[in-house]
Amino acid sequence: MIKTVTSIKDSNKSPILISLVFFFIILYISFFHHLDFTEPDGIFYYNAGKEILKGNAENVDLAGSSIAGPVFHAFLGDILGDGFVAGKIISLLGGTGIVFLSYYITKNLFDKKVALVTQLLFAVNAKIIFLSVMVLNEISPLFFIFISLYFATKKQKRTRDFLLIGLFLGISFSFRYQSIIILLSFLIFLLIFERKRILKFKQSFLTFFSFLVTISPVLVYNFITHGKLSTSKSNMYILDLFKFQTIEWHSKVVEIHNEGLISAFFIDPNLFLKNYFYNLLYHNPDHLFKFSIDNFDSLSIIPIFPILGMIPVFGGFLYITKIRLSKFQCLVMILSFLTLLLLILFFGEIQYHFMLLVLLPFTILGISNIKKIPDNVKFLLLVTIIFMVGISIIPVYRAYQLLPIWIIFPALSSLFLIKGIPDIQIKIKQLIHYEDKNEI
Amino acid sequence: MKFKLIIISLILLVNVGFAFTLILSTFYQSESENMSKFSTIYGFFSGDELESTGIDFKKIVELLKQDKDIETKTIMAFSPSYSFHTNSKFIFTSFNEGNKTDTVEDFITKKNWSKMEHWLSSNNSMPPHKTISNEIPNYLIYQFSDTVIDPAATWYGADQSYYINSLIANPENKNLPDFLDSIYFSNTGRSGVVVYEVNLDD
Repeated sequence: MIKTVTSIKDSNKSPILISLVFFFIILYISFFHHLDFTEPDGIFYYNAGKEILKGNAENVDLAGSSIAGPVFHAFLGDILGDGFVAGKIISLLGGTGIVFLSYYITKNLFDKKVALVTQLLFAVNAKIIFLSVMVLNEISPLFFIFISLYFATKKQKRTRDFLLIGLFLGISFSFRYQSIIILLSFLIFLLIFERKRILKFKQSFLTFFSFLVTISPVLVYNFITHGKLSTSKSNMYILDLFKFQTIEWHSKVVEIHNEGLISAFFIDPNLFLKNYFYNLLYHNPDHLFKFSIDNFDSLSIIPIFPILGMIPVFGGFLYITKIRLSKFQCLVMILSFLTLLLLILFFGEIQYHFMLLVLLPFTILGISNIKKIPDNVKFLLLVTIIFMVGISIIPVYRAYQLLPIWIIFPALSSLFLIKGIPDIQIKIKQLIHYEDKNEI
Repeated sequence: MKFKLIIISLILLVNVGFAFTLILSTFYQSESENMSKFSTIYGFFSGDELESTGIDFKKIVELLKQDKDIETKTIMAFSPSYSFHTNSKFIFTSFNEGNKTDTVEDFITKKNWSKMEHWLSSNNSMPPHKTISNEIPNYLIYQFSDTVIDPAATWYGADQSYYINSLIANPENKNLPDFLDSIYFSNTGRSGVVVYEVNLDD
């Protein structure tokens, strides 16, 4: 028995085995317990796809999505003769694919054991399971983002990889628009960290070109059907979801619901920024780490206890930066912490902006030890920062909307659990041993 | 080594338990008690009978299908699922359109709906359309919740939903207009659904 377990662990079969177990459990839940197609979003997008295929495209205005998801769902539904079954198959395959890829993406960053624990954290995550069971328009774009992340995190990237990153991000964009933030992050990453190569603009051009070619049918469709390149309506979301609103602000945004974000910003820049920093520093991180006991819509790897899920993530970050703090660095950290605390107390609200105090020391540590961080981990950290800065224009209304950047959190947590904890144990033992020696 | 494995196993176990609870309460509810978020999992472990969360949905669809002309009729609701399963037309509403002082008739006839509310409704309706339509629905289905489920809800949305709740969530309400006939009502504790037949001419 032990031999069998060891041989599975040592071979490359474990990620396949975990994916298969996940597949069959989700298959069972989907087809034996999920018996009614009642998801409003799923039905809306399926109906939209049917209308587009019927030729009624000009009346279908998708405010939060592109057309590939609805059309693909409706097309598969037509082939199978059942839209509900088609939706369940898409979710099942997409979810299983994500669980499978989570291993290989993490293996690009760390070793096999860390990758295996990360994959297990994906397989048991309630939000991944939920998305794999429910018929929504979420899992397909996420799956394609994960494929592109696999190529983007490869240590040695060839020309083909740069093309594939653009291709899969483009396919994801054709389902939902958030993959454009991943593309921007990748191009910024190339610009900052691969300066020598970027002089030729080769890699970034290849990725951008294949992205553009892939999304061009969607852009052409949007332009021909609706007279614009994108159907996204961000003002609709801020109108619905901004926490801090006034009656005047609300009625003015209603009038410009079809316009871009800039016009919404200038209605009341202070109110806009108040909402933005609330989203960036409290609301959206709450969906990542769970700040309160009554928030169950969170991606925290310890989903029932608040805050605890942050410990392994930041622990993994400390492990990877291999900190050796100088006195000067400590002084800078303490001074900036105190300055920031005073600024928040005077100009902010500590209950909403406290995350800044947590992030600041880690940002300083990260920047001062940036050379120690592997390039592909740097890329995922950069994606996380840019995604959070960009997406925080709106408060995400479901935790799963943060899944495109989530992989770095379970990966760092697994690193802390696999490598960090034994290191801490050794140091504690050494400390006890040293104290015992001194006593003698 | 052991300590590391114990911690990893505990984290995985907590996640499995959490995911199980989420999926269980998505598809099932306790027959006897539904006042708490955890009633389904309590019911599961205490051996209570669990029933499908779709029980009201199925009954309503069956009820609507008894109308022989349902495929030519229109349902006004938040969820398109009733219309989808009865092949009827659908008017989308989030029940916070119009003015706060609007009557039910004003609401149903979309008297004071803004351009944006008209657009949102037309776009989410079935079939979707671009023109402003004041079509009177044949059925009105309102799903309500007694508790504020999402603590992050904006002040605006929460305020509006309480107003609508007081109007049509209770079919016994004496202030309800005569043209609304309640044909189905269910309140499971934390949430409920009410179906009205609308007898209002265009």
